[in-house]
Amino acid sequence: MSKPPSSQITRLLEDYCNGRQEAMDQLLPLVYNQLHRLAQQQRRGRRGQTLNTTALVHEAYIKLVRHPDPSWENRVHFFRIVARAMRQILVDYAKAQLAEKRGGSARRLSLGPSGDVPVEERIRLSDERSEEVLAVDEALRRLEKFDERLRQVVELRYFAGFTIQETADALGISPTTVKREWVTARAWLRRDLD
Amino acid sequence: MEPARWQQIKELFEEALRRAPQARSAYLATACRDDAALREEVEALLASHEQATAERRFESPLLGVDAAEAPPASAVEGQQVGAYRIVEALGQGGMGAVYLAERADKQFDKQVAIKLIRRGFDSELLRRRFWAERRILARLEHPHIAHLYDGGVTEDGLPYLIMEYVEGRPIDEYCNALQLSTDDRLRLFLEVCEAVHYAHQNLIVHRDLKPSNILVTREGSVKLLDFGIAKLLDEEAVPEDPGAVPLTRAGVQMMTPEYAAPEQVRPGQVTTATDVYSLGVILYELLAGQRPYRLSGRSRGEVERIICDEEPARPSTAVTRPAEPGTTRHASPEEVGRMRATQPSRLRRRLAGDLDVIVMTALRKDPARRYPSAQQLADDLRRHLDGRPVVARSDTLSYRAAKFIRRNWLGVAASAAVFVALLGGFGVALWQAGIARQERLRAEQRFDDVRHLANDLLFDFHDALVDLPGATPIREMMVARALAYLDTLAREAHDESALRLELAEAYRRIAEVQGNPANPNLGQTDRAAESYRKGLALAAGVLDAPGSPRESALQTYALLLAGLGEVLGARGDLAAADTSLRAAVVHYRELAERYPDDVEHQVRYAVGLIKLGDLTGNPNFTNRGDPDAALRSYRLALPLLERSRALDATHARAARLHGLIYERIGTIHEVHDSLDAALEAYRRSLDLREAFAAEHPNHADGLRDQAIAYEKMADMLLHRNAPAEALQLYERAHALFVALLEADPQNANAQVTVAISHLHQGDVAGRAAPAHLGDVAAARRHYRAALLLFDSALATDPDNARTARLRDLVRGRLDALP
Repeated sequence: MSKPPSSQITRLLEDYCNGRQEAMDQLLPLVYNQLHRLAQQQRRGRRGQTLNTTALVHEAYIKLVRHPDPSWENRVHFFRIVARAMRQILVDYAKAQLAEKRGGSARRLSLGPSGDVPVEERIRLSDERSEEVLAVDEALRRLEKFDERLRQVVELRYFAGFTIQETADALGISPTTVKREWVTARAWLRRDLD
Repeated sequence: MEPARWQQIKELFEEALRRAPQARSAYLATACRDDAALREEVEALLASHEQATAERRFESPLLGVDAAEAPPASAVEGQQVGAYRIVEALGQGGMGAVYLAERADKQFDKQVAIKLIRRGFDSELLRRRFWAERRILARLEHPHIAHLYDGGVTEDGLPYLIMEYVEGRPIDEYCNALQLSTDDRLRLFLEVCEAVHYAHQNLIVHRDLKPSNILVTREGSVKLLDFGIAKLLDEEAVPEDPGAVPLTRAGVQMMTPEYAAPEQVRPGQVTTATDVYSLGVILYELLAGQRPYRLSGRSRGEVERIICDEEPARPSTAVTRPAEPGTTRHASPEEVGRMRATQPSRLRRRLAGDLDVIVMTALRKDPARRYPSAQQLADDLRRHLDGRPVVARSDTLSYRAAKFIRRNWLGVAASAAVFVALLGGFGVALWQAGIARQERLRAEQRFDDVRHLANDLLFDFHDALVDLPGATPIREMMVARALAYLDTLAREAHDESALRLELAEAYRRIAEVQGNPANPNLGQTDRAAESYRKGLALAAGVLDAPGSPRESALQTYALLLAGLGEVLGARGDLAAADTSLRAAVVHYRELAERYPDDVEHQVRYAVGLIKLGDLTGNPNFTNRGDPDAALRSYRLALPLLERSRALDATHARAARLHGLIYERIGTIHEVHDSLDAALEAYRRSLDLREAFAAEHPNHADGLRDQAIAYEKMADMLLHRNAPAEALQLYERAHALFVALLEADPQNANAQVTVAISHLHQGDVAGRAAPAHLGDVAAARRHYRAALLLFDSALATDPDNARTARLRDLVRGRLDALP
């Protein structure tokens, strides 16, 4: 797959910052592919460790944008896009995991915009986890209708694995607020999933 | 759900969570009033919250994808750990979760924090060490350290620690929220150092110092958390145990790399110096609003390389650095300034100098080169807050060189080559400052470097040399270099009072060395006058500026005026000299009266009066012929000096001047032919000067004073018709003068004094003195020697009117000899 020109990404990011929501739809597959590839590399390199999302995001950003001094605004938006992409990746993995378990026949699955992902190179989620990922994804579709910021917090914390501080930076709010929002989101999710 | 309804539920939920679990129900009953549905929603959410916490739900699948660890079943609200019952979760750390808990038996109304470690003991060794360390930690009792009460193992085999519960905010957040000034930040940080030092004395290293471990309570008091806990759980520190499961370097990974010392990211000995390093990073961040390195998003290899090999920018440079890619933390210089209630440029100046050096000393890569202890770091910060010189800065080349000279002054001439080389390097720094205007940040850093350098040269270096005989050529070279730097700096110092004053003071020092007759000098009176005038122009600008440091500006201005007056007087421009000196005295008096208990101001005022007296009517100087006015000036100076000595008995300059003022008074009595009064004054002067020389045997000026006192007494003896005794005293004086000249052969002043001493002896030997011995051959010998020396002094300083006058006098005496 050819790499997208960085100027295109930068332009899309700027569009998105300027309020053009469709830019997100065009950005997402690009970011998704990049993150996916990087995650695989990272996992091949260090088996048995958790993903370092911050490093992943940073690397993805550098690779995609290749801009020596992108504006802070752009970076913040990029974090949100990454969170969205990570959500998509995890949902795809979870679906694949569960499908494999049930169907057993599909060794190679067509997954999202990235195309085929060999199972052994995927993030291995337990069945329980896979169910949870799909459930949280569903719940967020409901949540975003009445609390957009909670949705963002969950996306960053849960799907992208951001720390409180990183989430605070990405959303431009204080860590205390993130902590509070996260507690509320968790409670709401727990109740919604019942 | 309706967004508005949800906001209502959310607010009540969050408000309820802030209360103790048992108080929540009552709170909701009041808050919801008759909206039962609302209350139900919130209660349900609270119940879900407890479930989610208990089940440790919704941790990101990206964290621990493979580990699939079972959450500790005991970490549930309401569960009992030791004698405590868990109330609620406080947070998640790298090693486990922290909970708020209270005594299960409610015996004490005491809240504690319980840290539950996620991982069990992997070996018996680790278990034993945990217990041993726990006992040591429990002994730490300090007001700024959160106390460790107890520790144990849950039924599930997970270790836990029970600690003092501290309600507070991380120190960085606290400082920013309160917009604390740099000084206030430093004072808070001193408490941190104090606590760390206390632990170090108990042989406990923290190993993981970072702002989130340093809380500030509502009362504004610092509390350090988690002392020694990193080690408690670091299996790496345990000797290899063959039976143990191989472990990852979890302990190291858990460390926040931003605060980790080089010896922590690369295998090395973790010592108290490791904590000193982390303190340095924290101080850096508190002061500059940025961390020394930007590590977020970097690979471990990169992080390791940066921490171990890269030299961070000084805080004063970092503070003006715009945000860069590669960090999730962002604070513009303006924001950083705002959080310190100041502007970026002011903050930069505040940090430049002492604080830069202190922080960079704590951050040295080599543990042995950092502050040896947290206390020494704190001491330097205190010295800085008190305006005293800091120890870290003494670790500079010039300082050490100056100390070297002090110890080895006999070999000083041989070291001149070393200084030339040293100064050459500084010249390069200056040159770079000149060409780097485009690179503004770098240039500013260079500017500060050069400024420090010029100051070091002039103050540390020069002061170390000024009283040492033989140092004149080195002083001249040093001064020439510093002057070159200063001329460059002065062109760029437009609107900064402190810098302009610093420069003015520097010009004064230079002028003194160039040609002030009151000091050992190079005999360049023209250049000296020029330097004084440059200094005056700078200082006058500061005096006129509103809000300038008036005391120091006044003082520098007065000193410059006085110096210029002396140089003008030495060149024979007596009217101009008089104007200049009188203006100086007016400024001195203002300072002395404003600060009556300040010895220095009293002494300076006295010196101004003495110089004015010398000029108005002292026959030993080129003077304006008004001895009565001179005596008035001297008599005003006398009580000031007595008062100064009473204020500070060890004040060397006041002691020296005390001897000098009696000599001056004696001189005027002599002019008035009050010989008894003159003799009395000279005798007092000689007593004071002998005492001073005995106390300060290496003080060149003290020795010269003593010699002058012998001469004065000798003059009196001549008037009393005792030429033989007089000659003896002249000879004693001569021996002292010659010793001084031999120690410093280039010193024009020393040449002139020896010449005058020959003149006196010639007079006594020949017929020029009131009483004489009639030894014409001896007289001729002395006059010729004097003539040679005067000629030599005039060769280096052709404009010196006094020297010329004395030379002509000697010529006349020679011609008058039969």
